[in-house]
Amino acid sequence: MKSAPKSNNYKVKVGLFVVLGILILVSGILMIGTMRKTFVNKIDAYAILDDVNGLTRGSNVWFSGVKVGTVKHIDFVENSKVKVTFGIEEASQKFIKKDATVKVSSDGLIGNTIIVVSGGSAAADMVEDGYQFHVSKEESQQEMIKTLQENNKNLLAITTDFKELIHSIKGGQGSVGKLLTQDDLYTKLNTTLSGLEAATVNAKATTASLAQFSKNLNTEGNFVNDLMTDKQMYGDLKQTVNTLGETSRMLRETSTSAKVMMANLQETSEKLANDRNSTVGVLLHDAKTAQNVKGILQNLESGSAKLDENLEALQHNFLFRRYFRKKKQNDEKEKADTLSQVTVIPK
Amino acid sequence: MSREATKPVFSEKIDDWLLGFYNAFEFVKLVFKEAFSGDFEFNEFVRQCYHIGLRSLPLISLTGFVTGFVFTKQSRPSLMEFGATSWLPSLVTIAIVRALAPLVTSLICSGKIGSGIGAELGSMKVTEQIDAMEVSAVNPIRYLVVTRVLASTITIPILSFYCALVALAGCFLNVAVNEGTNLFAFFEKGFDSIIFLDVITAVIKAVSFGFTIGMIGCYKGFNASNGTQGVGKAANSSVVLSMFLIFIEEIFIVQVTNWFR
Repeated sequence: MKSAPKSNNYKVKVGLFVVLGILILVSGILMIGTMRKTFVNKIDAYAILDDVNGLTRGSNVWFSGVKVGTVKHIDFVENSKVKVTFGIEEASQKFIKKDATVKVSSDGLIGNTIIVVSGGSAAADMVEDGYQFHVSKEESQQEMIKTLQENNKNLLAITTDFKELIHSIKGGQGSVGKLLTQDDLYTKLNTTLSGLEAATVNAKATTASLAQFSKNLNTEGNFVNDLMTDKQMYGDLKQTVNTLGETSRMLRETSTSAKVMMANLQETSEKLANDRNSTVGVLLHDAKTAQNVKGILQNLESGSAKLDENLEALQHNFLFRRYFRKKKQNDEKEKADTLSQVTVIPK
Repeated sequence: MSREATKPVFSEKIDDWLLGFYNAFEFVKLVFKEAFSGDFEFNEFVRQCYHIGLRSLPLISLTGFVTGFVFTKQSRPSLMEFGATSWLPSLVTIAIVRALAPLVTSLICSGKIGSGIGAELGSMKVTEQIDAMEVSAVNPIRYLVVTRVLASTITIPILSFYCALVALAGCFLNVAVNEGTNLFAFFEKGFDSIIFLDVITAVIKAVSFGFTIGMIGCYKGFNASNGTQGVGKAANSSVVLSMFLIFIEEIFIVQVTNWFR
């Protein structure tokens, strides 16, 4: 038998040992209770889901990434529907609105399945005990994996095509392949590139010249600069342009009129040329008539000369002499009046 | 004794094995009877709590700390492959609270306490001290067995709590050094995955293991024979059998408690 401790101190130590052990247990329980929101007042809410994806009793409920409760019950209802009842701590109740939705999610890529409450507008009322949340649809991990698998297939097809492409290029097929395998093509390309390089240098110089030219244009006193900056000149120019436009329009109209006139003249000319029966046609084409007209004109000329002689003789007749003398005086008087008026005009 | 009476029912070995069960059952029944008889050796019980519980504390603390530290260190590479080292507190806390703390404590105690009880009572048995107690009107079951079984049943759960705390401290040290996690975040993350059922399961396990260690040690010591050789055998077999039963109980309790998850 083991020897008994000499004093009763061991009893105190045993008591302390037991008390500390119980304290550890109680602390653990309290910590779990705090984490599980066991010792806080909660309201119950529920949602009816198609698939809870392995959700279990005690799974966390998150709102905006903050744990606000835990799942209490999971029950089958209706046909393949699952009713998930969960507690939400009263402290968070006022922040969760009735138009918020729930979905089954996970707290990481390979994390625990949880209920996530999200959304909700400020105008909506806060959730109440026994409230049924609407469910929002989210792509499940299986669907994500399916999409990823599809992407993998596409990637495989792309790499296969790329492999064939590289193989073709290595075989000297296609433009790139020929470029890589044929030396003369390379030489030509090199020459082209050299030319391009020279062209680039020229272009650079041209650009510099253009820049200088542009700078000059922007210099004050330059015509173009004045044109662009002087508002008065711009107004005048605009007016000139308008006038030119008007003149051009008038010229166009005149041209149109001239064209019409020319057409008429041409038509008349054609008529004159073709119609020998009209008066002008007879005059133009009938030699006999022309001879007659010529004779008439000669007669008129000789008649006119004789009439001049008669009129001269008439002036010297005593019957009309006074009339012509008086007329001559009146003419001279009017001439003198006109001259006097010209001289009195002030300078 | 007639020849028919000594004739084995199956074979001598099987009969002995079955008889061992019967004797063990009778012993347990006797212990329970004495435990609830009314007269309780409280001073002896406290003394046994001191020896079994308090004196095992340094060993349990060291083992627990090493368990938590090493388990964390060994788990990190696997979790690192998934980029999930932030799960280390949860993983280690679950492992420690649900399984490691009661199991490690019980295995250490079965080696230290079980062998001690077996050797102590075995030597008392072979030196006829137990018989002398009976002659002196002292009930050896009540004085020696009930106190030890009760002390181990109570102190081993308490040692498990210490072990869990120290193991979590070891885990925290490792996590804090490598991930820079602070104490609050560590415990919040760790206990986020723990539920009351885990604690209840751990307590049930520790109580069962403590009872088993005490009972097996006392039984083997009480049934020691053949002098000092028998004492060694009692000590050895009490350790082996209690460890074996601890694992059996572990499987059984885990299965039962998983029904409630």
